[in-house]
Amino acid sequence: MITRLLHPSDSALARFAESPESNDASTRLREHLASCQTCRDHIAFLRALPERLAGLGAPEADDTLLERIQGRLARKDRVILPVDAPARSPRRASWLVAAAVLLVVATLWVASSARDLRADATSGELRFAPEQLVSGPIEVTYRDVGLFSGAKRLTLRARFRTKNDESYNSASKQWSVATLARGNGGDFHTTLRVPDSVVYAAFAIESEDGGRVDDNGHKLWYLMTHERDGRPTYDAVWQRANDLMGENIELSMHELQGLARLYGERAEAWGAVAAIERFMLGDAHADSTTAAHCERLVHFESLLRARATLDMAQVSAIRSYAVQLDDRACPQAQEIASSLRAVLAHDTTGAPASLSMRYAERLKAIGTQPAHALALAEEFWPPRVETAPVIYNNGLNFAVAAKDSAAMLRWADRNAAHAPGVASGSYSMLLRQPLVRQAALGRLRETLRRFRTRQDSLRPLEHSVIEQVRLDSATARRILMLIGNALLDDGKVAAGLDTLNLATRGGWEPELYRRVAAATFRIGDTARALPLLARVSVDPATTQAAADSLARVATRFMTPAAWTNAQRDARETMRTTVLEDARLVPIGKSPHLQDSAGHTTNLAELSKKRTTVVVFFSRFCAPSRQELAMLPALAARLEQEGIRLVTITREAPSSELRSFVQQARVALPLYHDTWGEAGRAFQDFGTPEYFIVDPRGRIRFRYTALSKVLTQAVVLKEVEQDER
Amino acid sequence: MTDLSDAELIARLRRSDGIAIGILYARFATPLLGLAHRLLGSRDEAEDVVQDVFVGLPLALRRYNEQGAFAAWLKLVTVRTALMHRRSSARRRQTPLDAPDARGRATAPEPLIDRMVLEAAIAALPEALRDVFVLYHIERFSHAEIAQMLGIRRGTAEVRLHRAVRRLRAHLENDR
Repeated sequence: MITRLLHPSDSALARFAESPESNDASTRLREHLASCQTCRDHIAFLRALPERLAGLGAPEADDTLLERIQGRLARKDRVILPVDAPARSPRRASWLVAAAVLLVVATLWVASSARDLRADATSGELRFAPEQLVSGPIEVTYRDVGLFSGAKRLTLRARFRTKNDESYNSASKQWSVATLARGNGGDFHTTLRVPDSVVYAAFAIESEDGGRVDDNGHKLWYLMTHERDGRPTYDAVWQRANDLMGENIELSMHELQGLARLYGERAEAWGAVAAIERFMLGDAHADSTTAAHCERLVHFESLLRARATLDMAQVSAIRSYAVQLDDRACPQAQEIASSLRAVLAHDTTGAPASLSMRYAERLKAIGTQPAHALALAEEFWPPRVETAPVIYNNGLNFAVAAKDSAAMLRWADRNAAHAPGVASGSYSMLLRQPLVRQAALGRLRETLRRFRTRQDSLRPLEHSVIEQVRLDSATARRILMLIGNALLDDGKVAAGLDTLNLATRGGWEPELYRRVAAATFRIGDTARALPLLARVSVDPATTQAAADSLARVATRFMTPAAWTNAQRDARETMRTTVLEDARLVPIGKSPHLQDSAGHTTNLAELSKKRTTVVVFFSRFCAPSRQELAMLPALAARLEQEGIRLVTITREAPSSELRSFVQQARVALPLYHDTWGEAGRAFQDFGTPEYFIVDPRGRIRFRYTALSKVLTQAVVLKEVEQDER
Repeated sequence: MTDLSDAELIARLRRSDGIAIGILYARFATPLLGLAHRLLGSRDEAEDVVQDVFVGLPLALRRYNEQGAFAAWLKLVTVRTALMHRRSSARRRQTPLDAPDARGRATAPEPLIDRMVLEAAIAALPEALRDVFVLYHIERFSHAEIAQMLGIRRGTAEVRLHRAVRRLRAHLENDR
């Protein structure tokens, strides 16, 4: 069974940061902190915050202000001050953004209609016979709709999941599994064989050079293993949900809910439902379902106790279910969790399901002795699936705490081998350790070299080779910044500056420029810093006040005319680099939408021939709700630039949705993709999704991030204006 | 005269004593200006708020029931005035932030750009989160006081604070 530990609440962490010696700091919290670097980092940040804030400046009240006050008093100006407390705001729809990483297993077993591919201008049709994973050959047919005109062969790429693979895809690999050849009828064909250990496989089609990809509108295509009765297997559904984590959590949740309906006798499915529903739908919804969960939990536990021998896998599953439920609403949950914890901790059968609990118990007994904790982690190496997340996280932390330089490098290498895409994180942590600093620098350089060579297995199915190169370049720039700063800290000024200079090439990353400028300013190299500050100043996300502030700093070192020139160069660089990510995808007929009153409109009417940011949003998606709160400010800022923002939900107008919008105080009009036209036109998948459309109704930026939207939209608008 | 206690000062202010205004200004104007500046991000707007507070004080003091510290009450009124000022602003701002003021208080030695990064990160917080963050971590109000000031539940104030801290941290730290 695949599990991840839940993190304590932010309130608990904050209390601990302020007074760790307090008796209120529970044993569970301390245990968690012993093995969670993420939470320890957060506590360190909280503890350092007061000192950092003490360094902030503040304006001083001067005599001119007093004169103005006295002048107004002399004129008998009347001001009524708000002495009384304001009326309390209506309670918002309460939900907590959980820091827990969830177990998600989902199956999209039915939904053959969802698997039917739209004959869309930007997505072909991929079919399998049989439509499930089998031991023998699987016939594959792909019908191109013009994406690969002239091609004689295409590549079928796949990501395979066995029953023991982890959630998310940071450690996943992708493979070219077959070559399709164009037949006489125009369709492409091949035969596929999949290893028997694979329970779930996701697919995409691409050109032979990897330059063009059909990922079915980001949804990919997929196959699963099935039971004889036609149900997809439990493990297949579980892995589909794992695969969807980080891509479309809302869909993961639906899959998981379906899994629990299909396999209602499996406690781990219900535990995952309880966890993900609390995260995605909020506490109010979760509380409303606690009674049903509680009854089910008690039933599972009674069945367990009725057995002659205890199955540790069942014990672990039921315990995991119990810890998801609110103790206040379901007191039995705490009792069951405690008693089953003890069962797992004292299991002598060596069952894999009790491994993580036995590890936790032994770690607790070790207490705060890093060397012993490190030895324990080594004992549990290599990790099984039940302990992998914890062991990978713990090993490096214990090695650092134990000041064991060989172990630090060993565990960082293990982490990097396990998840190459995030290797730099482990090595950058070691930069702070004097004993291994130089070795960590060497490892970072190696990581950098690997990014510069094509590692196709790490390229996600959705990315073309060029897109992956761009993403790798962005990661490489961050690694260069780490290396450059480390070199400067070591006194190697020339090498450090050259490395930092490399870090700022390519892409458009104002935050990177700000940090590199700070580093170069610190050593007095204003010549390198000032052009970077010019880039920051011209970025649309930089406020006028901040830009003026940067101008004041810059003009201490250069003339105003020189600063203006630097900004002009920066603007040009911004345009060039931002537009590198632009595409040209026609929407075709403008999709119809409904407003909240039910009136029909279309996107062209809403855009009014202006550059438009289109946002797909769902109130059932926690990340989407989080970003929704930022949209009014973004909309106002975009409006200043003459750019529209259109927020779309797939839900039809309803009283529930209106109530949500009212409670969330979303001061933006919401449009409804009632007929699915916008979804098909944009091929949106998951929420929140951001697109930028030019005045001619063509998608120029797809699946972009909220942090980039403002800059991309403003650059696009300016380019369009120049071209008129 | 400058040794007047708060109670004596209040009594004089209720009678619109001009000298008392000056003493009050000397004691409280700078911290109140700093508070308003943190909430509004603009020195000009912060000065407008401080003006309103001082001009409206003689009348407002009639409703001051002298429970709790006067300084705390004054800060409370300033916060409410700043928020009222923001709501009535004609044009919504995203993240206005003035430059570090050369006339500002002496600060801990920290590179100008790093301080700007931190200030910009705070200013980049959404207003609802920034208010709670500033009032808790900089002005050192309690959760209960903040909740009362903003007209929200205490739990809401706590949740917003935690979200503000997470967002600030994400802004300040490297992407991994």
